[in-house]
This record gives sequence, C-alpha cells and structure tokens, in this order.
Amino acid sequence: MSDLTPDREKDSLINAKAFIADNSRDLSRSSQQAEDTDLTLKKFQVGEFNNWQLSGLFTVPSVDLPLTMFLYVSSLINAAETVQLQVNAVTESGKNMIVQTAVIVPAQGAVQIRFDVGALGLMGKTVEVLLRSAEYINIFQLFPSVNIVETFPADGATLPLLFLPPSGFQQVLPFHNDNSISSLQQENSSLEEPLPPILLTTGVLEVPQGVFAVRPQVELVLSSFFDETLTADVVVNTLVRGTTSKEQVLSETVAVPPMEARQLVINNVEGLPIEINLTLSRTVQGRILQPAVNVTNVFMVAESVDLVMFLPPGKFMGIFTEDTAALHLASTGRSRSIQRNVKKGGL
Amino acid sequence: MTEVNSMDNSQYIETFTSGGLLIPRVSDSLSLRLYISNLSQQAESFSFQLNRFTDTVKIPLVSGSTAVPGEGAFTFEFDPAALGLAGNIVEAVVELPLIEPPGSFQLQPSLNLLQGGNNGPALPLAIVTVGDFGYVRENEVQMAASQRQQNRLQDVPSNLYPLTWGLVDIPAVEEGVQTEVSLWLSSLSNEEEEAVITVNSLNRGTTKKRQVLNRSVIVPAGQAEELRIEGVDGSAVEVIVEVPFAAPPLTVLPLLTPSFVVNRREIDTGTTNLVILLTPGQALFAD
Repeated sequence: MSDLTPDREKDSLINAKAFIADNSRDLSRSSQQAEDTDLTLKKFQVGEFNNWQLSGLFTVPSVDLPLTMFLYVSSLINAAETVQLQVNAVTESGKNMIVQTAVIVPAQGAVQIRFDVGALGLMGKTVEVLLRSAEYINIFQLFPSVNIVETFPADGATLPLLFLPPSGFQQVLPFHNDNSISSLQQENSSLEEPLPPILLTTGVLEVPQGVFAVRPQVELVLSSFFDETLTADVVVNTLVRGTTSKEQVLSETVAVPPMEARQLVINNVEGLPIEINLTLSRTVQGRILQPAVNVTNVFMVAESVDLVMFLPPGKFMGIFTEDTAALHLASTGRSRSIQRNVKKGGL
Repeated sequence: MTEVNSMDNSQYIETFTSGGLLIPRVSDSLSLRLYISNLSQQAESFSFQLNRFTDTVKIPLVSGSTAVPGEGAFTFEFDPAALGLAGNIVEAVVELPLIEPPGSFQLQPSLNLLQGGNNGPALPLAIVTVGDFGYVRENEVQMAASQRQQNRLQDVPSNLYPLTWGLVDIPAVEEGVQTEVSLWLSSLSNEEEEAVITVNSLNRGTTKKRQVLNRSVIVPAGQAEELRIEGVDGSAVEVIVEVPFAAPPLTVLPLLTPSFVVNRREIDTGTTNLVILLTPGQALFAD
C-alpha cells in the first residue's frame, strides 16, 4: 500500500493541476474544468450510460532519475470530442483520485497530459488511468495510451519504461437488448463477403531520445498468412509538442508477397511521440496480415542492440473508420451503423 | 491409455502468431520460451512453427506437433543468440484446435523473451500473452476468438468468469533485490464484490502444473485490493482470475478489473522497476 499522507495527496493534486496548466496552453479550458470538479472519487454506477476504458492498476517505477507520465488520447475521427481522464492512486485510505480533468480532443488531433511523477509523489505507487466518454459511439474512435519515460538530465537521453497501448485498456461495451454488437459481428462473419478495410493503430507511444553513441530505431514488421500479395498503407504521425496537432512523418504502401514478411524502418522520430496507423487492403474476420513493432536502442560502438519495446499484433487496436464503414455500407447496402463493431487487438 | 484430442481434418484449426519479434544483440544470454497451457482435463494436440524473417522471405527454423496432457503445459525453449539469431526477427506461429462450444480454446499460448541469467536472474524483455497473439483466419472457421467474450456474456447472469494471460516467467531471486508479485483488483462496483484467484506453477522440465494458490478476495465498493503472490520466483506461473461481470443488458462490464504486476525493488537504494505488467485488456477468457 502507498504511504501518501493526506497532506501529500493534497500537494499532489495541486501539482497535478499546475502541470496541466503549465504544459497545455490548449488545455486551459480543461484545467479550469478540473478545478471545478468534485475531487472525491465517484463510485461507478453499474448501468450508468458511460463508456470507460480502464488501464487496470499498475505500479509506477521508482528511480533516481526524473520520470514523466504522458497520457495521450488520439482521435481518428472528424469531429471534436470531450472526454474525461482520471488518475487514481492506491493510498493508505484506499483508492483515491489524484487527477481528474476534462479535455477536448480535436478532430484527427491528439491531447497530451504530462505529469512529473516525482512531483506528484507517485514514484513506486500503484495507479490506474480511466478514460470516460459521454457519447459511446465515439469511444472506440478515441485511443488512450500511457507512457512513463525516464530522463537522463546529463545528456538529455530518454528511455520509455512503460507503454500501455489502447489495446491494453479494458474496454467497456454498452450492451443493448437488441444484441446489436454480437449480431453485427455475426453478420460480418460471412466469408462470402469481404470486409471493408480495417485500420489498426498503436496509439501514441514515446520513442526514446538517443545520444551520440545510442541510436533508437523503430521498425514495423508485417507478416503475411495469405497466398496472395497483400498491401498495407502505413501512416506515421507525430504529435507536435505543446499542441493538439498531429503531423504526418511517413506515408507508404508496403506490399507483402504471399506468406512472406516485410520490415519498414521508421526514421526521424527519435524522441518524439508517434502513432503508427495501418490500413490493410484486405481483411477477413481474423487478420491475414499481422503487424508488430520493435523499438530498439542501437549502441554504435559496441554494436549491440537493446530491445526497448515490443508491440505484438494483439497490442494494435483495430477499427472500422467512418470512411471504411461508409465504403462497407455502400458495398452491402446496409443502413445499420457499424461504428460499434470493434475489432480489438489481433482479432 | 490417455485420450488425446488430435487435430484432424474434421476439426477446425485456428492459427495465431506472436508477430515479428526482434532478437536483441546483447552480451547477456537470452532465452525464448513458448508455452502452451492446457486448461482442459484431457490431452489436446497442437502444432507450432518458429520462423525467421530475412529481407525477402520467412524461413521456418523449427516446427513440431505434439499433445499437451490434461491440465498440463508444453514448453519449447531455445537460446536465440546461440542459434545466431541476434539482430534477427523471429515469429512463433501456433495452430490450436477449436473445440465446442465454437470460439473456445482450451490451449493458451504465451511467448516469453528473457535476458540474463548468468550472474543474476533472467528478466523478461518481452511477453506476448494469450491476448496479445494475433489471430489469423484463413478459410474455414466461423467464429472469431474475440467473439467468445461476447458469446459468454450474451446469455449470462451476473456471475464469475475466469480470465487468464497464459504462462508467464517470473524473475528468480537475486541478492539485494526483492521481487514482488501482485495481483491487483480494482473495483468499478458500488457494492462489495468477490473474486476467486487460482495460481498454477509449471514444474520445470515437465508438462505438469501445480496449484500454488487458490483463494477468494473481497474488494470493497469502489476500492482496490492487492493479493501478494509469494514463492513463485524463478517459475512460470499461470494466473486465473474469476471476476464478476454485470449481467446484460446493463453493460458488458467486469466489476473487478484485474492486473498482474511484478516489481523488482533494490533493497539498498529503494528503487523499483516494473518488470512485468499484464493489464485487463490483455487477458482472455479461460474456459
């Protein structure tokens, strides 16, 4: 159990608000909303019409060097949405809310909330992150991620210690009497009819900042399980620091021969928050083209390679975007919304 | 004679992949372990293949087909560095039988890449849980694995449902370092809720699992509880968490969200490193 005292918790709350205010001009409205929020932990009401994405409880590392926690929410839709982010910590008095803030995620943009872990007294503490949305049809088009990054002040190098992608969050699906989610999946299980393109995303992850002798490398690997050539449109965006705008740094179509694999090195993203999105040309109920991401540190002198992060196929979130949904509807003549037909992870 | 469910033409087969994992080039020793844990009481057959990626092709390194005893586990372990795979990308592919009801799997794959072990414990570099494996559908099968979660929840009353991450390697004991293994349960309910936790450990060099813990935990409304798991250092463990779900048509909602955390705390300095984090989103139903 944590040893946060009530005074310490109060300090943490103040610091959290200060960090929100300091680090996000665009979030000034959000921080004001946080100020106005009742900071007692709300008990969740079962059946309440909310959409939640929950990280589960995890332990924040405790190290001698500065640690920063980045919370991201990335939008892949064409409308701004308001969401609520909450960080709870387990203390002696139970599970308590440390930060709660409402943020507006711009269309096709992303928000970043940054916390100094040490200043919040969260080193070594057990915390959870909760994203809530009022409009459930959009929650699967907004992608939360958590990054905890260690900084080496002497040379400015950074090292991600934890990355929790959107797929690592527990999804809470509203369920309705018409069984709309499951019946829609059954509709799409027909093999006679190809599914629309599916978009896979990693969420926003922090790439290490290297130094002279250490070069971070990000590599996307695509493995085919199909007897025809498949293509994937790969787009890599970076979130411009201090803004809510995403900037495209790579757009490339990768062709993978039958039953083979292809690797794509993503350059010029060192020290940046990036999001890797893939649109697969052909999909079935499973996935016949499977992605993975390896983030490594290459030590130039020793010629050694450290594995910093590995994202297996199940760590990608898969969705039908509005565009692909429209294509699907046009091709099938269905009028039913498929926005809630979520394909999670490698499934 | 033990009854074995062998894979034949009359049975649906599902293919799963770990994705392409880059083997680091380091001076420490490395170990790659593929586990297949059997949750059923009868033996089940499966096949696996390990591929290496080059710039142009996938090359099968090793493949095999075998049976896992009922409630046992299969281990395939090798040293990728010794095989000259440092700096290469490898992929583990498993084919598992689909059993009734459709969408169910009794075999749970997981892949662990460990570094070290010469002068200290081997630490996990990457863990691909059962929920992290990519599901490949080629032709025949009518049910996606993801749908099993929906299937289970469509017609259920409020009840306990088991979740698991597959077998995971826990670092061994090291002098001056305390390894803390915890299962956390976070409540989303406005009522007190109960979960049942079972922890199995795989006996090294065998296919036998033994139960090391089985107990229930009560979590007060809206609160969190930690269950510390002792005595599993250096072993491969399987955690099965039976958590309550709210009954449809309210929501498809686990009322207690589990996460599995392993920390290494240096006793002298007090610094802690999170070496394993398995989140609720990575868990799958254990039938």
